[in-house]
Amino acid sequence: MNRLSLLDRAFRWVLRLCLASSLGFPKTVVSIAVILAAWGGYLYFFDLPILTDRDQLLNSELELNRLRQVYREKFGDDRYLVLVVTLAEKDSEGGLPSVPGTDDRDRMKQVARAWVDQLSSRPDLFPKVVDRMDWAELRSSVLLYLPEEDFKATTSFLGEHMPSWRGWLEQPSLQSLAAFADEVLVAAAATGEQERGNLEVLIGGLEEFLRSVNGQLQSELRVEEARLPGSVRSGTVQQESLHSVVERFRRELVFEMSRGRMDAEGALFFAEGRILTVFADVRGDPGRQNRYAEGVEFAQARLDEVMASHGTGLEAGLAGFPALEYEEMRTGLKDISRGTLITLVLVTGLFIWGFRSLIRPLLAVLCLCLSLGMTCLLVWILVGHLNLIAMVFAIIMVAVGIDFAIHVTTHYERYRWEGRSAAEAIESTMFSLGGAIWLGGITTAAAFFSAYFTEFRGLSELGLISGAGLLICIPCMCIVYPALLQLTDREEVSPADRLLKKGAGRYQLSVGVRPWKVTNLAAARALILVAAVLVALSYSCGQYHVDTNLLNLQEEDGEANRWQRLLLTTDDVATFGIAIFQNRAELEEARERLESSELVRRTESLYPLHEQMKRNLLEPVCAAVEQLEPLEESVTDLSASRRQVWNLRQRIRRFGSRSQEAQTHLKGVETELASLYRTLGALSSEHHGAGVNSLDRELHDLSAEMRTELRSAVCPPLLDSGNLPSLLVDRFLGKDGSLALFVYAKKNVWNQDELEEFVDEVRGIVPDIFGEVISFYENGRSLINSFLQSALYALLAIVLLLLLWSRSIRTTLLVISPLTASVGLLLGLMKWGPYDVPWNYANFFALPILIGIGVDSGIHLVRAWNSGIPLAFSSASKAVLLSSLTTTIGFGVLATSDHVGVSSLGYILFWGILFSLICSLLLLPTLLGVFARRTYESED
Amino acid sequence: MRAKTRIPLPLNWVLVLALGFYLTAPGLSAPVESGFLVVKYGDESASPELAAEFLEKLATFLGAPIDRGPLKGWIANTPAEAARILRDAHPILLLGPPGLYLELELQQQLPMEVLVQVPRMGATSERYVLVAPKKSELSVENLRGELVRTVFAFDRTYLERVVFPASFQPGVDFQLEPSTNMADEIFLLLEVPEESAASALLLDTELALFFQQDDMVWPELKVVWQSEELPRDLVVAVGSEWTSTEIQRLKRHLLGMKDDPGGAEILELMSSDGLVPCNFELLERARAKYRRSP
Repeated sequence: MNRLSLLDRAFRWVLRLCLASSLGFPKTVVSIAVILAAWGGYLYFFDLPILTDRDQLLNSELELNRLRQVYREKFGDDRYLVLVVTLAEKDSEGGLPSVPGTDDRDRMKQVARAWVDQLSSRPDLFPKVVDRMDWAELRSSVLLYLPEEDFKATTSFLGEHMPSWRGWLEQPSLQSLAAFADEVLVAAAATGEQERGNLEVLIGGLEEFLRSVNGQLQSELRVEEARLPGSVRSGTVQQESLHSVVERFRRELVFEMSRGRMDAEGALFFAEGRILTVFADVRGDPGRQNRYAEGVEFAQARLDEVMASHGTGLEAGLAGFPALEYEEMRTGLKDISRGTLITLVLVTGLFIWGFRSLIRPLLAVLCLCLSLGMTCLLVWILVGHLNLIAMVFAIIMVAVGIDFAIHVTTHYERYRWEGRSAAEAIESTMFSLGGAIWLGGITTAAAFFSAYFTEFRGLSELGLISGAGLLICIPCMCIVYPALLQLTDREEVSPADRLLKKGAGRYQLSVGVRPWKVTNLAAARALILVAAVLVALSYSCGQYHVDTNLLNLQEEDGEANRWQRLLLTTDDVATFGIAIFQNRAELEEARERLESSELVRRTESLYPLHEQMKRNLLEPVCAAVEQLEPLEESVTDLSASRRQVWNLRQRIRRFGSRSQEAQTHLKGVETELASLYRTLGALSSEHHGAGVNSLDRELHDLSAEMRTELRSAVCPPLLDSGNLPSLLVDRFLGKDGSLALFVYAKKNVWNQDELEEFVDEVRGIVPDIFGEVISFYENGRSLINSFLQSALYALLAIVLLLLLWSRSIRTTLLVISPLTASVGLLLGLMKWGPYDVPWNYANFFALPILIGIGVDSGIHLVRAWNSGIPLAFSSASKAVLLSSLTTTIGFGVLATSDHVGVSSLGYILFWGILFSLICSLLLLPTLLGVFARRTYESED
Repeated sequence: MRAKTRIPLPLNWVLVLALGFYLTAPGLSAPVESGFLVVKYGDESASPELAAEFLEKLATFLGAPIDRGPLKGWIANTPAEAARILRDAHPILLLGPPGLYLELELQQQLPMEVLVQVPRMGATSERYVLVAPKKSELSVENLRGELVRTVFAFDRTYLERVVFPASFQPGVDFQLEPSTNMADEIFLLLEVPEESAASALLLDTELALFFQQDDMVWPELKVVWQSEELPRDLVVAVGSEWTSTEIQRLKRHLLGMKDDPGGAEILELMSSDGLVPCNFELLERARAKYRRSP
């Protein structure tokens, strides 16, 4: 290059300034740097807040993020920690937890209750814990909240058999009750496969009821035991009041009819009762890197205690966004910290090994640490905080910043080897290399700065901080590092001395790769052609798929991940879209359309679905109940009751004769009926004493209660916030009276394609839908767009700066050729390599690092080539080799991380930088040999 | 190269019209629904509502070996209902009592072929019994004029011609009335005989076996009379559309029912251990009696 470019002239001026300060006032320079870095370090550890709330990293301009903020103000948080309790036993098919029986469900509820009690000791961490829906509050409207199919079955069942139940409801007695049970059994037996559960509950309830009645009557009999025939059961009968038996039976039936959704105590069961959930609003500490750590760790520790005492045969774990975020942050931060540290250690080690020297590499690493500290100070001044994504800047600076140090050290060592003093070597290094350092640094920084203009706040701040960090790193390497060298390296060493002391091998190692000699132009062109084809193929068939499933990023064996996946495969209650309406008419209209969509699993709101239609169906049943005659006091007719019990028993026997299974189920009822029949036979009218009277009174009360409940269920009052459970009101009614509608997707929302389909569909109906599930989509898209945008901006910035520097399209193309080729090869490897590694939210960060290192290597090599000095190219290639190897090995460590996202980041960086190295040292020299031929005056 | 053969235009039109005619002709535009009829007189669970699941399973099983599209199942528990379905729906298969088969045979409206018979509760032949309380003095000799109750629907002709001997005929030697609740009849007979209108009950084999298994019932009853051995319920192919290959295939399928998982489920619902070849000797005797009587 005969005439210096404007940039080169500017660099020379800056370098003179650098040299003047580093050589003139080395102690002052180092002192200032240490003070600034220490201040920055202090701020990082004690004062610099870290934004870990994902929402704060989003694009605040997005309408859905604004809507979400509004929702939280009106309705509270929509992200809950979810306790999931299941049976340890699994179904043979599908591996889902087994459906629990009544006792199992009680034990599951015991675990949940105990956990909630523990959490209540920390209201500061868990301001709200929801473990039950108080159906008692909803009793009068409970039918309306049944799923439509179950509602219709129940209503039709009630409507059809109401006439035959009149006897029991109007004249309660043992005989009318037996007739009632007979009717119910016949009707229930006619129902389909799905209602088998109802029938089983019915039979179980009947058996218990009969046992209780029999117990009462036998107590009566024991008064005159002498009159008992031998066949009648004697001894103490475990007696339970009819009321409690019926209450339990009613709970069971409601639970069964609602497919496990309506537990009588309001416990939140899902998936036919397989899963019991508790929702806890957990407070995060925005000042902590892992904001939910305290809450989730406390909740998990209490759960472990509870499980140790109550959890035999059960499994329990935590799911929901706080648990997922906690787990991700824990493994992610652990892996990133470990990765950064190991990278730093390995880089330093390789540095030391590469230069066979301890002091210089350590000084370079110290310098790097100082620049990190100063960057923190700058962040504090410019941004005021760090964020979850921007924290990656440390790794970027270690990876790219160390390159500057390696280049400076390589050149410095060469000049020192030539016998120059430290000051002379520094001066020579700066004049020969400083320009390339500044150019490479500024170009890479420009690439990072370009991310500042993207819409995603997390990435935008990362770009700003990393760019600024690199701009700090360059003067550090050009002023502070030379100052440190000047202060520490006072030894006068001649080349001869060095050769005598260390041997010639050291010299060979220090020269690195010699300039490529293209002796066979045709072979070189063929090589370039093959490389071009390979790269083009890699680009055209490479990996462009982005896996947006956040669960796939998590540690595979992670607890929260496992439980969240269980929710996902059964009934995911934690991910939904939210729409807000100002009035019910709007809500109902939208809900109707959403419910008819193939992509919507269900919707939830304050009001039951299709309330009016349900009310219309209930109207005739309600009318029939209203027309019931006033309840009469009636007396059990022993003979009539006996006849009814006989017939009921024969009915049961008939049902039992249908199959072995039916017989097994009905055996208990039949036995109870036979016993009751005999007891009734033993009781004569003259024994009709206190026991029978008490039974009559109890039956009367039961009938009265059943009438009241039936009337209340089939003639529900108008619903308003006053007669609805507070849980529903809290969840779905805003402070200003607005109404929330939750929309659950039928397909897997963690799959980007299915999520996109869902979002498109629901947006067609409710354009303003938002919520975590929509945020996945929008923010995921925004993040991907931002990355692509920043990559494009970075490329433009690099090309412009290179053009400005070189004033040559050819040189510019040659500089970026290793980067372009290595990215292409990486895309191909990701797709067709031994592992299909898709892009994801974590490994996207590899792109800016690859761009930085790739461009930097290109600049150093092309500039060294253009200098016409073979030793300069050797030094540059050695620096490229060392810096790339250090970074490759350092990041390779990340590939062994538990966190799948971090691991894939390590994998991509390892191969990306390796490809970049190969392209820089093999392809670029060949390209230079063909397209920028140079004759060296002296190659030795 | 061979020249393309072109169909002249008018012929095209003729073909189109013929096809249109064929498709719109009565009986051709929509395929006739093939089905089967299950008849069980006097069994309240033999109703479309209670037996829906059974019919669905049976349709799947019966449809498997024959190429008639999805089969539809009907069920009847009274002679009137059975007759209505036979008249309106023209089932191609009948699973029912031998009396119904003999009546259809006598009418000679359609060709029929007996495939197998249906044992239930271990009984491979039918035997009707008259039962009365053990403590009563009732016997065949003093039954004249007494009231006998049986299930709510029965085939009076079959009972008169085949079940009861000429010397002991319902309506002549005793009164026979239906009852909607045989269990209740037994209760009245045993517990409050003074309130019971009937003196004895007529039970078919299945019902008799059912009560035999009840230690609260059978020890209190005595058998006053029992019929000769009679044929069991039959499975009969009805209509002229059956080919002998289809008949054989279906017969094999039915005989292997207990070895088929779906078939075993159906058999359990029918309280049967498996279908067996028809006892033609008993059937022939019943046929002779049925035809001989006026």
